[in-house]
Amino acid sequence: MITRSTTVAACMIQLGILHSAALAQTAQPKPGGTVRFAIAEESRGLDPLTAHRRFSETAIHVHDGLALFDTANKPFGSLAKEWSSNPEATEYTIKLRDDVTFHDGTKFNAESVKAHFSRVFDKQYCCNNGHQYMNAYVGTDIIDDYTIKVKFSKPAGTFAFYIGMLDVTGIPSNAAWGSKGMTMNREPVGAGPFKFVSWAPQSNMKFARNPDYKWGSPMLANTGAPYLDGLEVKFIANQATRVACLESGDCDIIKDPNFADMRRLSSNPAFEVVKIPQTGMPYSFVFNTGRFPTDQLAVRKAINLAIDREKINMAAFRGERRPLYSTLAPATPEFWPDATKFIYYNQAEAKKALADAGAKDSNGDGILEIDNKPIEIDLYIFGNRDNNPSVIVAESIQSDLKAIGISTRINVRPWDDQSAVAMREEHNLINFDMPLPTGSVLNVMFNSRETPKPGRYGMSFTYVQKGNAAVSAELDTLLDAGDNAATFDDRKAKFQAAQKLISENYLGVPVVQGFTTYVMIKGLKGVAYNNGGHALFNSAYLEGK
Amino acid sequence: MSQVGPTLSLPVVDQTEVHARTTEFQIIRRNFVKNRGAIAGLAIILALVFTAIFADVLAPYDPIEQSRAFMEPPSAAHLFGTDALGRDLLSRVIYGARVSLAVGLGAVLIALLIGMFVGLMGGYFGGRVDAFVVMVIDTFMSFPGLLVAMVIAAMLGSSLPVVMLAIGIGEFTLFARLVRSVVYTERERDFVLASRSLGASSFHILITHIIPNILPSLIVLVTLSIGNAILSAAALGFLGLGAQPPTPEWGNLVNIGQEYMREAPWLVWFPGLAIVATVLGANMLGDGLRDALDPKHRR
Amino acid sequence: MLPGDPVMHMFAGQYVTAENMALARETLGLDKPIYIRYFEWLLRIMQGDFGTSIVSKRPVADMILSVLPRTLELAVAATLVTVVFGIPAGVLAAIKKNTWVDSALMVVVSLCVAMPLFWFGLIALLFFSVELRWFPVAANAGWSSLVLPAFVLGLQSACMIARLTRSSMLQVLGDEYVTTARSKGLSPWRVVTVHGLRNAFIPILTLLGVQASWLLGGAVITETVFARPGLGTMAVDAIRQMDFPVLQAVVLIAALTYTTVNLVIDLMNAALDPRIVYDTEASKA
Repeated sequence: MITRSTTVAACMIQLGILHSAALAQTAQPKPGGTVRFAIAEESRGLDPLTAHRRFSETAIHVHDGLALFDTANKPFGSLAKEWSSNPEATEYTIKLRDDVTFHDGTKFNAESVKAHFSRVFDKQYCCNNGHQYMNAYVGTDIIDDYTIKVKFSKPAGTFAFYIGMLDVTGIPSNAAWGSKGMTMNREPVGAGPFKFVSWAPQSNMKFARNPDYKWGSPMLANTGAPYLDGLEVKFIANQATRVACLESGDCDIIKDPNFADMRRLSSNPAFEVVKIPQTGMPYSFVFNTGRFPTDQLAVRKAINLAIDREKINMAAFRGERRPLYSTLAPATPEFWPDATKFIYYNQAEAKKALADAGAKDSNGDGILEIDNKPIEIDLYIFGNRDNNPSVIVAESIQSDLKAIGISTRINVRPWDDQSAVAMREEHNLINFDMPLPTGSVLNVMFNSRETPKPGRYGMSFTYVQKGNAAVSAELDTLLDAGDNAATFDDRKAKFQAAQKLISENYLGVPVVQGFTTYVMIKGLKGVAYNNGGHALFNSAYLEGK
Repeated sequence: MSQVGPTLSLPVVDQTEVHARTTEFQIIRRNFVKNRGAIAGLAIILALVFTAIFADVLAPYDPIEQSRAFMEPPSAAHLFGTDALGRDLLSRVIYGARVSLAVGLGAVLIALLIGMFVGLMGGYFGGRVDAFVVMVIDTFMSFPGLLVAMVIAAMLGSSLPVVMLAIGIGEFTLFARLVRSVVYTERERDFVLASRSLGASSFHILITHIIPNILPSLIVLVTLSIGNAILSAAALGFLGLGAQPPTPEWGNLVNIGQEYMREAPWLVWFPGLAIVATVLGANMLGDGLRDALDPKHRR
Repeated sequence: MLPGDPVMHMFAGQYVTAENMALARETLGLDKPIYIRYFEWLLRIMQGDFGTSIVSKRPVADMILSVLPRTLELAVAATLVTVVFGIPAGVLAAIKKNTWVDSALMVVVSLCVAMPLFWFGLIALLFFSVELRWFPVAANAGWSSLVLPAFVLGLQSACMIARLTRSSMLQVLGDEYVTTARSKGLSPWRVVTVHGLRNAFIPILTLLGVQASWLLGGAVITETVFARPGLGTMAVDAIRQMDFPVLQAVVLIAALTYTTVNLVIDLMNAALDPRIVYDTEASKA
């Protein structure tokens, strides 16, 4: 479906145009076989109520959502046939499919959706992603068996996007929920193309073809039952081992190979490499504006101008990514093109910005001081058990900043420490990426309502906005307005104004634009991807098996 | 069950005749010099110590200076090749000797101090103190040292001192057991009993009689443990619990290099071989010392 | 203060209110002092209750049981490799003392003891699984997926055993009764097996017991390199996620295993050597 890419640009174009070509190419898929798919991190659970960072990866096979978005963010129906909102975007009328049956044989209908949303907002299951994304949710009216009206207390324009996210609208069987309760997290019963078979912790999950499946999204080449007999998702944390699994023939497709191997694999005719550009906020750092020296605008600007992103891309990512000069990825719908004018590589200008702010090296140690305090920053990166290029990124930044007289302490922590570090506010720069399909991601990082404070623990990955109260208030207003805008154009205008403010104040350090990367054997065809970069195997088949 | 005694065949130096020490040393030296492995080990360790001390002079480049020569294979300009950020790997390995030897020595020193303290307490005071010491040693023995080190490194946050402490705590039992068993036998010796009857303080007896007697065994164990400590530090680095970048610690270098193992195998081979050489050197030196010091090994 | 607060890890990346955090703390008993928590934990353990994982919300006992067989099979297979390769190599080196066989074996042994386990594992993985395709990478069951990890883990401890076997054998072979047996015209093979090996066996067995603890530490590395599920990977994950009920259980299991193995070995030693008598006074010295 997607041919092997040699350049990033070619790949992006191919992704755009080849969806239509896919139908022609997959004219004669062979049924049967099991695909072995290796990903890095094990899911914590398979029910949307416990959705988390690595949820959709595995849950997407067993659950269908209300809608599905393609990699260009174009919406398609899935369990929902169509949906529309009132002009204020406070009410969404959703027409559901009437031909869907859950894996336990019960019918999918309006009640299934309503019950799911009630669970999402049940205090007992508090604090799942759905709860956050639909925070203005009031209730669901059942119009008829296959029509619902979802109501919000304030305009919820972003729901038009979140409707495609599995952690919000993946609908499990209500009957099964009644009997199994939270066990659904481990033994899910959904309406997806594959049925759950087994989960060996730390090892794999197995799924079997759902023969009754005939309600596939029109986004997919095959709307009927999958061609594959089964799907095995393996959890292999080590990137090199993941690649080894593919090369030794024990895996058919792997997600996120290491960058070093990616080059080698791209030139190997036995494999196909697929790259899906990320949206939202790709690989970036965010400043703590409440702590010296990053409370100084000049320092934040100097850091942004001193970093050689081309070098980082070549060194850490082996040229497999693209330097990023804006807060949002260009592929994000609300992207503000002028954002790139603020950030560029110019060491002389970076030095000048510091000098203008009164920074000088009075003790001759090579590190500049402002008001006799040395400009030293604490940079936090997060890695998993296997290493990730963050160490190289950080070392590259460290060397770039040293060249303009800023000293950097690198701190490496496990992924799960991200929130803890942010809350303790010991950082000057904190690494993260949040590839959400909407500009709403700005709220998560930059809206002060997400700031941890006594009695409120926020969304964890939070930027602490204490540096400039006036800017903070203005930014909050814009971001809130964007989230609540009724129309896309209105939301875009608000989020673009917010991006302008973020750029002018240099609140973050974009580094490189990411891609979700898959490498698969040539014989595996027909894998599809959604806007979250998750692989769908509805239309996949193995050639020659 | 609680049979606490050295399992490694470590020497318990029999020095009934203390005045015969000069000849004793001559025998030891002769035995050591005859042992080719021991000499090779000593040579390796001395070379490494020399490298560590004169790293600034020996390294052809600044170990943290980056260049555009990303991941170049070994060449005349860069004998060990360059890494992902275009840094000279040879220089990094040379500076790494400093870090790895420091971690090895530091960790063993910590293990030695804790082990000496615990072992001396148990062996010298006996009775309830000893029962408690045996319990502590047995408890720690039953946990894999690496697991203990991992928990400590995760709890305290990874940095070089924490790595040393974590490994030291993970390995002190060897020293504690050795010291305890030696002290246990020594304190019943005539000269100790005699000093005690003459009113010498416990501390005085420890310093003048017991410590000199366990010194040879300790030197051997320290040498043999350095290799282990360097391996443990590398293992912690591999699990992401080691020193923080850009410290060129060998375990870290292998850890970062493993991502590029297929494309740039030198990134894994050279630091890996440096670890192997150091551990090998320390082990050979330790074996040689043991053979020289241990009367049972002298044939 | 731990860098990782378990409750924060529980909700990592999720939307949480202070009330939820407080509730979670209470449920986990984190509001109580540490000694009370310790005794409560001991009490629960004695009733067979290992608690529930903070992260996966599954009963810890279930989690342990599901991976314990995988680590046990790895440990047993590695021990087998240790015994099968380590002891004969040591015996051979002792018999051929000061010949090229002895030197070659001892060079190999010294090198292999000095190698970092993960380095050895990575090289073995790349060579045997990727280049030669003899063994599967990260396969989840079956003999073929066990061979390489067991060899990687077992060979290093085989080298340690080989060294010890050689030196114990040399010591025993030099002893008077062996010399006597030899002079009586017993075949060299009988001398080695009956007199030499049998007497050299006690230190070897004792080292095997000590190795049990090393093996569990090695399992952490081996399982990580080979992406095998097991107690080792479970411990690594638990440490990262500050999932302390799981971590406590793994540590407890490790200690119990070590204690049991060493008890068995002590008993075996006693059976092999009638000179060993277990009474409390003797065991202190």
